[in-house]
Amino acid sequence: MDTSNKIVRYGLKKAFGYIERDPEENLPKLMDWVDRFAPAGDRGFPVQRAAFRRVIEDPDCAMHQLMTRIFTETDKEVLKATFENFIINGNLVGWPRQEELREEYGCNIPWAILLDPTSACNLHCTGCWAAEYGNKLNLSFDEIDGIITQGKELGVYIYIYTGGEPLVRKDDLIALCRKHNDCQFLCFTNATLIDEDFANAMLDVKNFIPAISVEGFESATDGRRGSGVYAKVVEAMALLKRKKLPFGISCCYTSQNFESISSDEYFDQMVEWGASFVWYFHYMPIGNDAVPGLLPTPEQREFMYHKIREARREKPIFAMDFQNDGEFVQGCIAGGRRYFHINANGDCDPCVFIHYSNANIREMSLLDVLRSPIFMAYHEGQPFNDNHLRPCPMLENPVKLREMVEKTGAHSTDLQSPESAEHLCEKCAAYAQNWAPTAERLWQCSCREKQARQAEAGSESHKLAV
Amino acid sequence: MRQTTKEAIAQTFEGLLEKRNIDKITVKDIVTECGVNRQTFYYHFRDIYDLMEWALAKSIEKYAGTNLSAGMDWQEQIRLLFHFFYLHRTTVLHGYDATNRMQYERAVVKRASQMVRERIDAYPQAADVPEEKKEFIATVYARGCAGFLLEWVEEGMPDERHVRLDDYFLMIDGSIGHVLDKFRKPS
Repeated sequence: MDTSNKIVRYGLKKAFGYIERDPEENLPKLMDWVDRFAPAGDRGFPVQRAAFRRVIEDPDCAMHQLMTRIFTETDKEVLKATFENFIINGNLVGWPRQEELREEYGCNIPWAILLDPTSACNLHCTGCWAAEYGNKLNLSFDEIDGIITQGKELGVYIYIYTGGEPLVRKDDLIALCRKHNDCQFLCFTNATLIDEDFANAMLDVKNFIPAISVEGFESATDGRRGSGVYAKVVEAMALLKRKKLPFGISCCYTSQNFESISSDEYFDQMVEWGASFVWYFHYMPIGNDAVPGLLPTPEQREFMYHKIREARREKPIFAMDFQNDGEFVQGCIAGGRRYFHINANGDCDPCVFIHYSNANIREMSLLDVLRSPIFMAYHEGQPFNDNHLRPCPMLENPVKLREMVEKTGAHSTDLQSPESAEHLCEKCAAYAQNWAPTAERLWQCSCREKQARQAEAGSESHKLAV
Repeated sequence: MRQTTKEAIAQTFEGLLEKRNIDKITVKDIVTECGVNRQTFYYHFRDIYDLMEWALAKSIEKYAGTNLSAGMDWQEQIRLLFHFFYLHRTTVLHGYDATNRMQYERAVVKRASQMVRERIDAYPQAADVPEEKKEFIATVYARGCAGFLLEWVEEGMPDERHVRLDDYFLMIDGSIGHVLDKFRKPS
């Protein structure tokens, strides 16, 4: 890191220490610091900073309430580590480095890496893709350590565990958090292995945030995952809240559960549990045993589109829907553009949902993975659609995935029952066709809204100038 | 159970430090000698310096527990703290490098300022001095001691009588009360 970076880091850390004492009063002042030191142009996230400033200055806004909640209900040391690792390293330090390398190597450089420490899981839930994986495979401590060490060279400071149930390997994960204390770790988990000892270890390392899978209330959860699981998960969340540890929730929505897990009642419940974010995942019909009937209809997906936008305005929890929020990240983020996935066998998949690859981390470097055929096909193909409500090369543009797999000769990395790209894409063809008109209408609407907002901002700045 | 693993790692490390310099000791050396996995090392420590800091704090604590008693004169306590470093001079010297220089300083300032602090609080006028000012005064006195310690380590830690603590104590004798008076809140 060069000297100016060190000064920026020092300045931001000081500023952070200062807002801790009185967030309401001092947050706007922190923002002044960030504005002053952010790199010029797009590299300094001007849009994001402006949005953040609006949140800070409006105490009635739901996001403002969320920020206040985070500041008052999170352990101070953990909050400080998250700020340093996620905001400073993950974005302000990591991003310029990633941009530099994208240019130098002409390939995608990710912002985050998802990896499966193990294919093992302590639960056996109906329809889980991890359940299909079997439980014999693991990335060793040294392999994960190697991935992170290489990743930091590329400016990647954010690592997200999935699986399998990552916490089956919790001692190794804590060891990795401690060794790489400049990185931010997140972890998809069923939460049933979070106990007092583990919570204390999390407090000690400070850089581990769980995203707990909860898919609705008790009957829905226990029906799919086994009886008593819901109670255990709720207990784990209560423990995290008591220890002032931040966490989020992840939900998969299907044609069956979309209404219940996006209800106001459910949002309020998640806030009460103490979650600060919720990630929604559209059901994906991957695997030979997948059930296309679980795919949401266009009406159901549109319902989610509006519902999650409404929740972001009204509920003090940060909600995201990867399938419907493509507009904020310019479409598909997989293939290493913002992230990619390494499974417990070392296979490097472009996406957690797309199990086709020509690269294994046990045989090549991280950089070579990003330059392997299917990753380059992603790089060249992105965005797969100009309408960011149709971001995925599988779900909304199945022809694209079939082409890429064929062209690059990528093989199925499915550990249990390899599925051909044709078979997978066929299941999406009807969905893609049905969704297209709705996507078109919503996209036109949101483009008009955006133009109106820009025009308004333009006339305001014009007024100011006058 | 975990605690003993942690201590076993620290003991192994101290054993290695008796024999060679810190720059010749790797995590691999420690785990091989101790008979644990590399990941077990990282479960407890971030790196060798993190281990060094913990081991140092732990052994100072242990030493203080058996050798220092409440009500003991603070100057005597500081002398004993120096004596602790003298007793461990092989490992202290083997561990001395740019990073550990800071750690030694931090460890001494932390301990010594607690000792001065007790003395400060015994003064009647201490009640009228704000907490942060008392902290500051204690740190200034402690930094003086730490400076002497580092200089002494730099010289290869000859007999501890070479450290001019006597002169230092003579110089500051009686000054604490005077300094406290200056920091008293106007009443």
